[in-house]
Amino acid sequence: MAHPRASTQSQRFAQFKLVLLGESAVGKSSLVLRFVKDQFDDYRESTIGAAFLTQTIALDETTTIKFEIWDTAGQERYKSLAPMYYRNANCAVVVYDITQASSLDKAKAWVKELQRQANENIVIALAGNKLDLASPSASSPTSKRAVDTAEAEAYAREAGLLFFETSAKTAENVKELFTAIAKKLPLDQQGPRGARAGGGAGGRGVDLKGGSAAVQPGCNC
Amino acid sequence: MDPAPPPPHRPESSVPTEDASTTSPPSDSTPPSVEDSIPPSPSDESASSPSETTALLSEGTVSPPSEDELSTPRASTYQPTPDTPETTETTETPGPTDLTAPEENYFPPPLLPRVIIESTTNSILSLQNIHSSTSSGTSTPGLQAKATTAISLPEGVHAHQTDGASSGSVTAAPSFSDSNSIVSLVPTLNTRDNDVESMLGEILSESGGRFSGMGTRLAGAGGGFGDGHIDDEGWDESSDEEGLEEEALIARWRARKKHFFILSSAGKPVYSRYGDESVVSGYMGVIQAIISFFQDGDDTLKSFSAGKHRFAVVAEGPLYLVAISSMGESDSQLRAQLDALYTQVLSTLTLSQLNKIFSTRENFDLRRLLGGTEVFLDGLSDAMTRGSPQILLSALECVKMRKSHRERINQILLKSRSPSLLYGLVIADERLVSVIRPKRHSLHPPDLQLLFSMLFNASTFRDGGEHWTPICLPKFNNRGFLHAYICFFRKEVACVLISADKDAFFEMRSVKETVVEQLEKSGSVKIIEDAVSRGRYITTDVLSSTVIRHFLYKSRANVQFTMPSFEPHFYTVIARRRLMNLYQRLHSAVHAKNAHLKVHHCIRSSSVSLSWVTPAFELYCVAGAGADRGALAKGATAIVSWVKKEEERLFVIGGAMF
Repeated sequence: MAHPRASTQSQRFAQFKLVLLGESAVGKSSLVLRFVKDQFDDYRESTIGAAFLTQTIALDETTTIKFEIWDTAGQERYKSLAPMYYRNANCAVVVYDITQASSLDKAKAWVKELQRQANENIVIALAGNKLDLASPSASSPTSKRAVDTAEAEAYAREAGLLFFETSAKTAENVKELFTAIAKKLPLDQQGPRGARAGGGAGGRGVDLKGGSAAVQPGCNC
Repeated sequence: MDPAPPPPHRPESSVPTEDASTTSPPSDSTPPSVEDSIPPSPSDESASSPSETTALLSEGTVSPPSEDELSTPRASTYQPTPDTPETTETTETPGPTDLTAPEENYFPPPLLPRVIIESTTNSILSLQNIHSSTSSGTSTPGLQAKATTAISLPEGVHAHQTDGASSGSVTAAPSFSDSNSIVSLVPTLNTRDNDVESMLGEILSESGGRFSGMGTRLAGAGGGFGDGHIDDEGWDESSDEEGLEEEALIARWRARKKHFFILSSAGKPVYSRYGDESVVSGYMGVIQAIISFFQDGDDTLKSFSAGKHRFAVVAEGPLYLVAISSMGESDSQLRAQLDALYTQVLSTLTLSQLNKIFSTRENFDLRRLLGGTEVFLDGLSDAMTRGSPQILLSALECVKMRKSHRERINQILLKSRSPSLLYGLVIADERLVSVIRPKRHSLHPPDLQLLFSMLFNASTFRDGGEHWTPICLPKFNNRGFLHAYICFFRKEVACVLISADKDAFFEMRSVKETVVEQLEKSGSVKIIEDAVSRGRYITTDVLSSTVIRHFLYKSRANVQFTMPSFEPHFYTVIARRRLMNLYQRLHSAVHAKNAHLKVHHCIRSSSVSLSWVTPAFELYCVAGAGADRGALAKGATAIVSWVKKEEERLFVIGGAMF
């Protein structure tokens, strides 16, 4: 959807809606926290409902990308709310935990749902998180890896997904993941806009729901 | 204040009808997706007593019905017609904040405090304990109010037991030791007095255990508020249990002062504050067996004692909630705490889903669905173990500020609101700053307490980010979800915007941005932050020289309370807990069903305290040991007139409506 901002000629500014999906406790919030604040908490309480964050990255000298990120809760009880978050999303990060084989199955189910229900042009990335646990350490002399890189990569290729193995803890591949997504997004096309109200649109009496009606060029939030 | 009957039309806040069609494909048969939405519903079960119809936060109106998307037949059968406000016809029914017990109607207007008990420590204690143990459901907040409504009819219905059997059990269990006494407390006589047995039971347990030890223990108690039966071990709330042997784990688990359990009626563990499944599942089974033993006999187990532990049981539909405490709370206080936990469970699931799940699968493991909300249950449990004035008084606390300052914040909220906004709140440091609400929807203290607890007893929402979460406010509507926008825009200051529309996030977000911008521009943020960093006033701010060290003042009409800082006398965790324990005892003494106390004066070796209850307020004051009774009474009178003078700063009166 890219909003070219009417600023200096060669500067481009685009804003995209990104949603994180995946089983609970795979590290979705940790990935976002690393990406947005470059922090990591060893202990994090479960996300309740969903959290909304933004992060702006410079793709190159002339292009700035702003992500509006929906970090959703992975618990089963929130499943039915997911469409609200991926509807109109430009991109999605589906996360699994490389130490939990079942979490990849869940990720595959999310990918399937996204490909069936979400935006046609949605860019989907598959992220195998907790890569730091793959290498043997003092506390666990053997690798805890339960999902082979090759296996997940083959699946990602087949399904047409971007693929990274990440560690929110060590920051490995986190920035790369989001940058790769940004690069793959259609900067120049006017894509569908998320259910998004302009930040400064004083809300009163205005119907801000329902996406396109509320689109305004340039977001001042 | 809106006693006027609301016109029976649908408020704009109700869920848009197209909501159903825009929602997701996942089948309805999968259990508890957070999908059912929210007809702001008739808050059917709780009608207010007259004294509360004018309260800002209590209910004064009946919500209109609207299409309920829940497929359960219940949902539709429970739609009442919105004819007249129910509040007018229910003078006998305790409202959501039950402290306005029926007998308060007998109270004459406020009197000067006078001493009604003066005697040696021991007899006072015993008197007090008689009262404390007779308190009943009327002193409990929230869901306990159901005691007089259809929903908890089973309790009432089953309460028609002759007292012969149970008084027999009481007399049969006179001694007190760990080995002897499971004094079962069968509700008896009638629904109004069904705590008589528990009263007797408690006397027994206390006269055996606490009083016999009291003399020596008090004698040995140094300063502070050593109330004898409260010792200091076992108050470690840390959950760091790694590396302990199983036996040590169990010993530690058993040493806890207080346990909360939630289990399904099939005996499956749902929640336990302490101990993992290996430790608790056996106990859950035992509890389930005990409860169902009584149920098989068409009876309802409400509480019993074993050793120095008091067990309180609440059966709410498919769930059993059990509190085990050695901290001396009365049964009704423990039940109020269990109700708070139950409210927390409902906020995640709604009552409809809970019933639906267990009606189809009795053996369902509810933990799967509560996953991630344990932090809220833990936070609430710990707050109640520390002693929570909010839960005890079933009232809210407000940030003290100038009326004009609060008015300005109210106006900012009102001006910034958007069509989908149902409730808007600014909350700081677990105290209310400002609230706006539609005229015809009141906010119920238990719902607000739930919200406050979730915000401040867990760190989930406190990361400075923006959150959007479905939440069921059971007193508002226990069958559907509202959606809450939660943002801590300053470290201890949160803006909470509640909508019935699940797609209203960005709308709420822009409301919040306007609100925060305006609050900053008007200097209100600074005022709030200053108020937070200053903390509560201290007792000597109120009374320049007084023997009173701490007090709780509850305004019954406003369903709000105020108290000074715990500093300087009750700064430590233990001192604070002892103080709260003392308040619990004072509270249960004056709320005992047949006490009819207006003023209660209590002398202990470590403290002198005074409770004063009128239809308008409840005041509990605590002074140090040996304080003069006249000085205490004088201080109490001075506090009352100070509160009167400062009323508009201490409480949110009327609130802002739209």
